[in-house]
Amino acid sequence: MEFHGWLQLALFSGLLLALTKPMGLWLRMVLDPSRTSWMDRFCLPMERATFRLLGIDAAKGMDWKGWVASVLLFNFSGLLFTFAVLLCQGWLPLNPQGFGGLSWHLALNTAVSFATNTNWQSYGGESTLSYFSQMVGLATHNFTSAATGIAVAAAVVRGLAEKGESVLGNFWTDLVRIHVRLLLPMAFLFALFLVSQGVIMNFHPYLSVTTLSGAIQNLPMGPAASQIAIKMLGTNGGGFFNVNAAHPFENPNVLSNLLQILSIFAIPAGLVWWMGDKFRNRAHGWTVWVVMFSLFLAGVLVSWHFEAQGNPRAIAQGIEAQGNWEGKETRFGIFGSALFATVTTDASCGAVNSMHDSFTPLGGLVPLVNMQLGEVVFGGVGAGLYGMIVFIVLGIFLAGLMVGRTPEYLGRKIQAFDVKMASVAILCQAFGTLVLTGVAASTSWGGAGVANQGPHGLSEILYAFTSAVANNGSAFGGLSANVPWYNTLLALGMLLGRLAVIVPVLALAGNFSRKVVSPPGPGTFPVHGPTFGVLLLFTVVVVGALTYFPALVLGPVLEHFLMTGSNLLF
Amino acid sequence: MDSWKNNLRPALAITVLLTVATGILYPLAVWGASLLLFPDQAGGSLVRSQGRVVGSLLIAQASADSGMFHPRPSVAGSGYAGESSSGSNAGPLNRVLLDTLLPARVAAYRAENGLPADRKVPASSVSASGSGLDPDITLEDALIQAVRVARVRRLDPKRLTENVVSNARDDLWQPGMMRPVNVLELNLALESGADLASSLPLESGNRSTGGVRDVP
Repeated sequence: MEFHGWLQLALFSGLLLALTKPMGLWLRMVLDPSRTSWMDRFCLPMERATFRLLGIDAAKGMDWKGWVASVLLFNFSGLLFTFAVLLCQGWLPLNPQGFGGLSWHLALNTAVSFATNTNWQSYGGESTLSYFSQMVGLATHNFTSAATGIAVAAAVVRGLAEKGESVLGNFWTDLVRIHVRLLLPMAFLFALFLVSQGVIMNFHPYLSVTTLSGAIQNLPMGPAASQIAIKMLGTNGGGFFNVNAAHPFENPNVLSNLLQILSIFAIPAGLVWWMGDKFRNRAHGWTVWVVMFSLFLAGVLVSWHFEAQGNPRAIAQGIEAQGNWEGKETRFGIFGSALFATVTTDASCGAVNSMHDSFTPLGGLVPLVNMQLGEVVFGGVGAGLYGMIVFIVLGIFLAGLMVGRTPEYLGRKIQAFDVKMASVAILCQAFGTLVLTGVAASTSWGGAGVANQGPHGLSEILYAFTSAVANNGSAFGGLSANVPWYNTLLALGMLLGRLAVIVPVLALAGNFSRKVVSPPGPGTFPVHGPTFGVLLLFTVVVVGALTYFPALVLGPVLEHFLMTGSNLLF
Repeated sequence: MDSWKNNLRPALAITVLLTVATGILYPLAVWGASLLLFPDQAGGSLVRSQGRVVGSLLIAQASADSGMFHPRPSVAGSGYAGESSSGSNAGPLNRVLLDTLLPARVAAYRAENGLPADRKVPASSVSASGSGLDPDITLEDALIQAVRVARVRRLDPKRLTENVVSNARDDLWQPGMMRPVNVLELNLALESGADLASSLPLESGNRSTGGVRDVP
């Protein structure tokens, strides 16, 4: 853990802190249609024309059932479209390598994966997908699934902040405004920056060159930069290439690496500030921010520590104790890899710049735990915030039980229905992850997919289903998941993980918006400051720890003790 | 049920609209602007030597010749296969990695570079990179290899070492000997002979292209 790592950590944290409020202010211009801003001059005409085309009344709010219906209809029409594009790839344009259509189960897995903001890669980008599939089939979901997440988060915050039947807002209005005002301009600028650093952006067929030593090498080509920009900003994480952001064409240097990591957190951090602003309690927003930041810091320090220590078995073979270099790129180094791994799983991004499968047991435990905590550490765009709101409701409810008072959040009583919805959201995640892992681990097709035997094999399966249900998309990449069983069960996990949270939180918000608001009294539990922060932190950690600890003991924890205290190999 | 019926039309219409906007217009806009502003990078940072493209500065290529610098071990395809990037995904207790690959790589590294049997080798030089296409090696690795390259090519080791150090990227993020050095840049310089004062003139003095890089 060298000085340069600390310097990079300090710079990253400083940039994140500095970016939070400006991003929040930007989001306010996007998510508060009643507020006028300088953006209106450029954006309003385009937005109005779109609303007319859609045939909607942009100002008319929906109730929570309307939200559920429109979110589901929108996501499923996109899903079916992408499924069709992938099946028919062979007949579609922009396919210089002549790739054929995907198998039904791979097409299904990939379509679900992108529609749910997971971006799990059962395929290898450069060896499976045409430019058309990448652009039209997949990159569109990078935008729309991210916008869906932001819109749902906005609806939930509105439902908690205000009272009335239609305060949740209008999904179509949000969707359009998020694209026009936020994602498209931001992604365009970020994509150009990435190209300037060396990320490729062209439509050439793969280039065959004769190298300096006379061998033939095929260089992959394609429209990568436009897709990579939104994959990071939208916390999607589906790479253009097989190895994702470890590929030099996707992430060419230290600067592109740092800004890609920062871009994962940019919108989620801004949303936390916007929530505080919307609740007229910015201290609440900042308290939540600090809780998230503490969890991030703990994760990155643990992962960095174990990766910097390296693998004692490898060091014993006569290599220098410079950390665990298997699966890492020289230009990022140990810290740059540990930071990326932590942030990509704090959020539901799932891009990787090093091979998590080759991490040390406890270095690799960090991304796994991050996902199991529900990805509420800034989290996926939108998804992290509404996930955290579930924990806030649960935390205040628990605190209320302990002191024997009716729990209140923002002046409204937390009642049975609210706690039920919060519990459904949390339990479905745990149920999906653990049951599906158990099924795969105890069947022959499940065991056949693992690349590493012993406890690491279980970690690979656990990681896959954790990642799917948490809509992350990163992997212990050794697992051969491109088989019908894995593809379909992972797709099921992804759908469950997405819908079993979105529907209950929308119901929760809808219910909150109908409650009587009582002014804060002397007995009101304050939702800012250290007491609330610690309560929230412990709620997140305890729920996660109790649920997943047994599985983790059988995987990475056991492997750690075998690595340091035995001479077994697998 | 009304909320489903009423929202069907906007759902389908906006799917079409957004597919066109984000899937076609947006990438075309990025493409156009890239061609205008950064055509070399957008095309893959290709490098030429003697008038032909010999690779990309960002993608490692195999070099078996002892007179050239070697990139890190690669498991992409059969090694450095540009069209199938991959890491090893070997876990920390992987039998093949620890029993076979690692001892073999360590022994080969020592033998080729003339290191004594008890000399520890740089961790990155015997660990497969994440992409299998890592274009860089650490400065430490490059300096060990420079001694060998100088011997094979009969170059002045001191000048070659200086050249290697000046090629190390001065990134704030990497401490001293862990700074990245681009392997293809080093090998191109060797081939062109331009920046290297050699004790013996290279056979093909006419190879010089006048610079290390000649990006189209």
